[in-house]
This record gives sequence, C-alpha cells and structure tokens, in this order.
Amino acid sequence: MGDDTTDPRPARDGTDTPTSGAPVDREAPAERTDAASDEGERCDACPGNDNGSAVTPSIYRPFWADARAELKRRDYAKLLATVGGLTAVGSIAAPVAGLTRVFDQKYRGPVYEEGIPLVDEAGERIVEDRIAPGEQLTVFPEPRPGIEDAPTVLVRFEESAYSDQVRDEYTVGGYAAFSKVCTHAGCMVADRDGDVLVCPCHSGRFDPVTGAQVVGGPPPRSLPQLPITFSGDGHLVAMGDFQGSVGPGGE
Amino acid sequence: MSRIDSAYDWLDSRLDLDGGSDFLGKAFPAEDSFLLGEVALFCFGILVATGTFLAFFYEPSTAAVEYSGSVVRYQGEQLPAAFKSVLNITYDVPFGMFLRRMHHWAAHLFVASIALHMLRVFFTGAYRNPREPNWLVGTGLAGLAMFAAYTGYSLPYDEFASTAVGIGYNVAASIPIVGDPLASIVFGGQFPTSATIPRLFFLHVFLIPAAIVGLLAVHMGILIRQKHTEAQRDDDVVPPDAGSGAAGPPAGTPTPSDGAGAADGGLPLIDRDDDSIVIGLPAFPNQAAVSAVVFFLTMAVLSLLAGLLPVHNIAAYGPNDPASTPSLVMPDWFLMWGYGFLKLTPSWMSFDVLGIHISSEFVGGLFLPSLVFVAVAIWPFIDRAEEPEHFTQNYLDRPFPTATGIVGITLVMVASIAGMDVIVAEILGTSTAVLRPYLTAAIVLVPATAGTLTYAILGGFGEGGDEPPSSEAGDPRGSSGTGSPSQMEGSDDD
Repeated sequence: MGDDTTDPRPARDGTDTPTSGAPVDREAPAERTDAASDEGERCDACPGNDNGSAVTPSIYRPFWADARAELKRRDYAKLLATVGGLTAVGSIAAPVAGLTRVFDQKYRGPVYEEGIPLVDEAGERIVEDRIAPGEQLTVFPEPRPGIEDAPTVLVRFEESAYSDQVRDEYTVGGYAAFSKVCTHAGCMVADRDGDVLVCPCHSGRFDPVTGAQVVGGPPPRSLPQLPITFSGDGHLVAMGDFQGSVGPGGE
Repeated sequence: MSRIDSAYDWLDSRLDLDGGSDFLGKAFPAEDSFLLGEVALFCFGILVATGTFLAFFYEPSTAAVEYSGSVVRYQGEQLPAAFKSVLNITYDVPFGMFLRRMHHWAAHLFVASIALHMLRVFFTGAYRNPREPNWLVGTGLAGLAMFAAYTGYSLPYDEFASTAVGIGYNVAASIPIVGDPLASIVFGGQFPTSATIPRLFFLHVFLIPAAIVGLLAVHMGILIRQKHTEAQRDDDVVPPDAGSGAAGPPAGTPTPSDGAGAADGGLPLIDRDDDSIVIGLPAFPNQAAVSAVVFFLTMAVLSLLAGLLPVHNIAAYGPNDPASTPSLVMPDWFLMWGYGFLKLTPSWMSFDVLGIHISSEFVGGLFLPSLVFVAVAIWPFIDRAEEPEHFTQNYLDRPFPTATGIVGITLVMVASIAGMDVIVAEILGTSTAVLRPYLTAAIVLVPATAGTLTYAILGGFGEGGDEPPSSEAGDPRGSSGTGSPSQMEGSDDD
C-alpha cells in the first residue's frame, strides 16, 4: 500500500476517489502479480484499470503511456486559452510598433560642405578681424539645413596656443570651429570658463586648444571640429563637414 | 417627511445607501502626519481642475505663428504656437496667469506631499506586512507624478522647456537596445520634431492622469480594505501598571524586553496592544470635517503662492532657441537629484559591453535614478515583518531602517546640490570643475557617514535586539472593531 501514498500523479478527479477505499486494499495483492509483468503497458488512464496501486515509477516506461503526460479536457481548455490569449495580446500589441513611425524626418545630410561660408546669427560672413584672440562667437553655415546640428562655436586663440592634437589645416588665423552641440545630452555648449568651453546643462568641459577634448564632466567624446580656411575674398569658409558625428550618440 | 428625506429614501431604495453606511464609520487615526496623503490627493484634484482650464486654451504645436497679444516684446514675432498660447493664457485670458501659476504650484506641492507622505510611511515602518502592495502602488504614483511634471514642464516650449525635453530625449534614446524605438514613440522622432509636443501633451493630459487615477483608486481601495495603521497607543486605555515602558514617543529608550504581555484585564477598555481595533475618527462626520479643513488649507496655500510668487515666467525665458542653452538651466527641484547624477557621471562610464553601447547619460540619467526607485520599491521585502502589523513603529527603535532612510535622504540631497553646481560655484566664487571632485566624494561619503552615525546613535551597534516593539503577536480576537467610531486618545500622561 505504500505505493499508493507515494504515487506522484496529481490528485484524481472525484470519480476516481471512491475506489481508493476498502475494496482496493482487498484487491491489491492479486493485482500486484499481474502488474509486474506488463507494467509498461498498463493503461493508467482507463478508469477500470486505475487504482494506481501497482504502478512503480520507472524511467523506462514509455512516456506516451504515462498517465501524467495525458491531456485531459481541462488541459485542452488551458492550452487553447493560452494560445488564444497570447494571440489576442499579440494582435493588440503589434500595432504599437506602428507608433515608432516618424514622419518628421531629421535632416541627415552634411551640415557644412567645402566652400560654405560661416555666418553669424544675423547672417553676416566672418572676416578675419571679427573677433580677438580669447573671444568666441556662435556661427552657422550660410544655408542652414538641419538647424539643430548647425550651431558652431568659433573660437580664436594665438596660433601658438593650439597643441599638437589640433591638426594645423583645421585652423586658420588662430580660428578654430567646433560643433556647439554637446556630445552628452545635446545641449548647446554656450558657457565658458577661462579658455575652456563649458556646457551649461551638466558641466561638461571641452578644451578648444586641444581640439575640444573632454577635460571634465560626463561627455563621452570631444566636440567634432570643423575644418575652416579663408576664402579668396577674406571670409571664413568650411573645408568640409564636421570631423565626427554631431551631438549625443554616435562615435 | 422633509424633501431631503424623501430624496434620500428614493436613492436608498435604489442604491441601498444604508447598506453602505458602514463606510462612514471607518476609523481615521488622528495623526497629523497621516494627512500628507490627503494633501497629495487634493493637489491632484486641483491639478485636474486648473489643468482643464489651461487645456482649453493651450495649443500643442510648435508651428510658427505670428504673435499679436499684449506682450510688447514679442509683438509681431513668429513664435511656436505652444509658446504663443501660453503667453495668451498668462497675459490675456482672465484669471489665466493665476490659474497657470496655481497649476504649477499644485504640481510642486503634489510631488512634495507625495515625497513627505512616503517619508512618513517609511520612518514609521508602515510599509511592512501587510502593506507592501500599497507601498508599491505608492511608489508607482510617485514615479507617475514626476513623469507628469516633466511632460507638463515641456509644454510651454520656452527655452528652458525645450532644453529639458532635449535632455529627456537624449536620455531616453541612450537606453541600450530599446532606446531608439522608445524615444521615437514618446517624442515622435529625433527631437526637436513637430510630433514631440503633441505627444507629450497627450501623455500629460490623458495617459498619465488616467494612470494616476487608476493607481489612486487601487491605493485607496487597499487602504480601505486593510485599514489604517495607527501610532503606538499611549497607556491611557490600559491600567496604569501594565505599560512596560517600551516605546513612549518622548521617552525614546529602547528596551528590548517589551513582550506582548501587556496585561489585558477584564476591563471593557481597548488594550494598547489590541491590533484588531483601529482607534480613530469616523470617516463621517469627523474625518470629513478634518479633510475639508485640509482641502481648504491646501487651496489657500496654493492660492497664496500663485497670487504672490511668479513662477516659470516664460515671457522672460523666451521661446525655444535652437542655437543656445541658457547658462542657468536646471530642472524643477524634484528632478534635481537625477540631474545631479547626470552631471557627476564621469565620461569613462560610456563603454561597450558585448557590442551594446552603454553611455554616460544612460548611466547617470536613468540607470542610477532607477536604482534608487528600485531600492525604494523592494524595501518592504528587505525590512520584512513576518506577522501582519497594525501599529506604526517609532523610528528611534529601528536603527537599520531609519539609517537607510537617512542614507536615501542625504544621497538625494547631495545629488540635488550637485545638480545645482552652477549656483554653488557662483556662491563660492569658483568653477564647477573645481567643485566636481568634492561633490563626487560627497555623494559617497555624506550618505555613508550620515547613515553610520544614525545607526550608531540609535544603538544599532550596541544592542543585539532588533526592533523591540515589533511583537504584536496577531492573536485573532473576534471583535471587528473598525466600524465603531472610538474615542480620540487624549493622552497627556508623562
């Protein structure tokens, strides 16, 4: 009878339980001899056969004959409800993907191109004596596609102030130009502390004489530099686009 | 039979009002600090009311329109429609300026009262068994309140708002893997786009308030179902010799030998350890009157603030300027700590793991603040009570939780100061770069020191006994006493 109590099968339905009373005890010895021979073939699911007393759990029993693997009516219902429910949830959730559709596409082309003049806020081109060493100015490409990437900070130092990290051909007449968009969270690097450019949002610091490298704060990379030169008629023009991606993200 | 009576009978016969009248006897313990949640609730109501007014005039659009209102400075200028409509609300709609400021102040008070309410619940240990679910709901409400405030801050589309939205966009987009689609969904594409403000508007006026209403209902439902906690009773309801001087609020001497065995004689009095009864004011009429006073005080304070203190003066800030960022840009005070985390996160915290880019703005702007929120949310499962608790605890008797709370408060405060480093640098006459190492050290050392000190002062190291008065063994007494409006405890012994 010990087998009966250790039977790992889940509790039977109400119809089965009466058989576990006294009659079972009486029948059990006879059944046991029977069961030993065809243990693997016993139909555990058949109600008539099913007093569960003689079944020794064994890993060699074919799983398809295992009552524990049998699907009952309720299991079918659960399965169908699960599949149906997941399908329903999925079909409701799928349209959420449509929310990522963006209509207002950002301008992705070059901000500057070779020969594009730099202008100030009023649209005026920059001539050589526009600012003195130590000063700075916010400039833009003369035609302004993608305005949010366009702000450029133009600094001027003595030419000897620039370190080796700044490539000579990127600066001209002591001028150097960098993207004004902070590489951390996209604010405008509008403040200044001595010679260092400071982002007002999270106090990121960029040193213009070393190519706007990060010298403090959270920004992950330097401000991309804009190679500039003087055009034939004496105003600043770009020699190409920013040397690196503008703003946060990117490499 | 008066007309009112007959109207009542008419309703009663249909809605069974008498059957629900039990609720009128729900006991509200008379603790002033228990009213903080009510302040938050009333603030939410005021926010909905004033917000409805504002939404009737607000235009969720960034399209440029010509301004022709009464602000001379912007006369004839092309302004974003959102900015223009807020100018109109402020300067041309009757009562508009007052209601807009009231909305603003109510938002601040909403968040503040939620924060204080949470601190009250925290330090009295009221989040413990069986109230962990409501602590979780409350944490969700706090997060939603902050999100609502952020979306609302963005709507005028002034220079500060657009900076805030821009930072929010970049922080959202910096989340590894899901960042881009998430930022596209919430902000409608790479900020700034014309879809950003309409989406944030919809979130602000519909989705977030709806979620808040839902969670509020759950919060209230759980509260009613579980009944209030109650402060430790003084000895006034038991025979004077029975009180084993455990946690009398003024005494504050933690004696670990409290035991549940406070005598319960055959007196008809309520035992001070009897946790089957809530002693408090009945919901009606007493607590209703108290709540009305709280409501009117809340209204009065907000009216006073709105009338006297100008706030977020967008005419002075100006519309969004894509080429600049104001030098004193910072968020509202309740987001300042997250802002401080953003500032203090060093750049080497941008790195790649398994090809996924983890950026410093994600670490500082979202990951660290989320850790704080997660810590708050799981706290009831760390400081557990095995048995359901009815009485609140004295924070002086709980060295570890109280010290943890102090760590949290000081961490948030130091992070907030770091968020305001520009102002601090100005006051000290130095630069933010000089301050930075000190602030970084402070954000670790100050909370650690404060927490350790608190723990030591409260005797955490000395005695081995933890939480002396936590022994309300839940003996199931038959009486279901909350329905009976009991007396207020007028205790002025010792």
